[in-house]
Amino acid sequence: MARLGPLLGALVKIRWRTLLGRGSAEITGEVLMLLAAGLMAERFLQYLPEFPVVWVWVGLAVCWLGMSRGPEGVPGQFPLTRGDRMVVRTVELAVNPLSWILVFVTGRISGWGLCLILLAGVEWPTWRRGKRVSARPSRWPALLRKDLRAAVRLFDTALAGVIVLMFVAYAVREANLAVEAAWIVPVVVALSNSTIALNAFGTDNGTGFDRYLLLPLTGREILWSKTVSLVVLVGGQLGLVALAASWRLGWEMGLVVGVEGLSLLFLLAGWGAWVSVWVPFALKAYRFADGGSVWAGLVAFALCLGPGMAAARGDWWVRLLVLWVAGAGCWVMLGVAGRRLERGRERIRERLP
Amino acid sequence: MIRAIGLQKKFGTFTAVDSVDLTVEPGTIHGFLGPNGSGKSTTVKMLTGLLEPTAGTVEINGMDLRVDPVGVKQTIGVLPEDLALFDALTLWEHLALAGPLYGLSRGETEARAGQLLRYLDLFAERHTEAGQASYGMRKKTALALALLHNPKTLFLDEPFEGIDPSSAENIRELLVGMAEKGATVFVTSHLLDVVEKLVSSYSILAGGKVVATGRIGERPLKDVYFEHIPRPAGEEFSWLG
Repeated sequence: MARLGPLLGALVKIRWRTLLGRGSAEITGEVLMLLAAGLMAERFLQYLPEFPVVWVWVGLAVCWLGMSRGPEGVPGQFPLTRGDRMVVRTVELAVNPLSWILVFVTGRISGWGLCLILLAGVEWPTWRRGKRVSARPSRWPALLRKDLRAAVRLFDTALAGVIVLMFVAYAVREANLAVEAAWIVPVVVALSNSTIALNAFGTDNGTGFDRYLLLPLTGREILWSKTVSLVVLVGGQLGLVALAASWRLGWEMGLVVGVEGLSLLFLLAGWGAWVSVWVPFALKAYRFADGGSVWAGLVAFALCLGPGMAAARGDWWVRLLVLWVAGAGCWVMLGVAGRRLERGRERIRERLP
Repeated sequence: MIRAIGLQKKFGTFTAVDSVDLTVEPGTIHGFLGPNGSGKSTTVKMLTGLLEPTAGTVEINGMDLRVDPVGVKQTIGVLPEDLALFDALTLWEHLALAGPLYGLSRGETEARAGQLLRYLDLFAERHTEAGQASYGMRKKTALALALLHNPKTLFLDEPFEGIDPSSAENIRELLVGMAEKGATVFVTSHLLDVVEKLVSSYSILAGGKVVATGRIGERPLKDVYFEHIPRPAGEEFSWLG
């Protein structure tokens, strides 16, 4: 066991240096996002009975801690026995400040037994290593699978998922679902996912971007594959919101939310394709997005308000007009950005680590 | 068939590659040699469309790379310097993704991918994500990707670096077999002994310029190489050993 001392010491240093090395701006951003998540949780959780409340917190905590741990890295390089690895993983978990938050929150709410179950849940991905993955060859699914796998490792996307989960729970529980919530939530979900839309190559790294360039694909096709991933990821989330709204508020409201969601998707995909090619920046797995263009984010925010306002106050022709403009804009942007991608590939590559 | 005329690449005021002319005929394995920083990888990147040349033209398999980049990419296989893999995909998923993009059916893709991975001794690890795989495993995957669609022209940047001896020997046999069937193979390497046994012609690059070209067998490759790329002056390391 003593021989593991230096390795454990190094892991503790790495964990804390990684945390502290994020810089004040990044930590502030993460705290703000957590605050926003907390406020949303408080808003929706008041309608829920005790048991589901616990499980929403459980999901949130496991999601955050599990992802913050990331894949097994340094320990995998050393000749460790099975017992050694268990010690290393346990110590690594114990020195992670997010573990303390998890234990504190769930321990206080639902008891220490649940904490142990949660910590085991966090370890679950490690035990699953080496599992067989079905990967049938086809033109898009592998690119789609890759983008989705990278996306679910981002906190922004996870936050959007948690918001959707809370909205659905709210709709299930609350017979008098607030109409405002039905059109606000899609905007919030779209905004939370906007970081991945605005940084389409952010999760690929430079090497992944090079592979796109080596494959026989045009710039437009590459961006289409990214759009398909976005539609599956964000469309799935918004579809759930529309279904929940439809169930509680009637099919017409479900349709309003559906049209709103589709408009949001088009706007995100179109503006995202343009921004991804003009001002690309890298996204780090297991973190909130940090950096990128402030003005691009502000424009995305303004754009997302359009469908929201149309859903809230507009007539049907306004909603459909917004949908048409968003769809046409997306189509044009994908073409323009695709050509730009082919010409400006070196500049994009330089921005990705 | 590879033809490059007046190939040049500038990064700001620095000229990485300058006026490189190359012609590699089908059925040839061509060695592209040179010291670190001589511009080999930059040249390969320009030949494969990863970098835009500052000047010059590139023609691959009769197609101008600038005019028809997708057409060129359909006919070439590339093992790039950085391997160009997606961290979030498993090794197998990379091959499953690539086959259909090159027009292979699902069955054909699976059959070829399995065969390649077995030959490169990678089949057992095929479900490892690239981000978690060792350098050698990643390199073999990138090589399998380059070969999967049976390209007419193959660009390999340091194919033997980080590869175990038995796999390296298998790779060498594969390349020789491909060239015998008419493929063009372009290989960069630092390993002069390996290159001398593999290639039929070579170019030596120094300071971004081609300083020598020739065919194997005319003169020993090492003699030609050190004639143009002098070794650093000797040092007395009394403290070593």
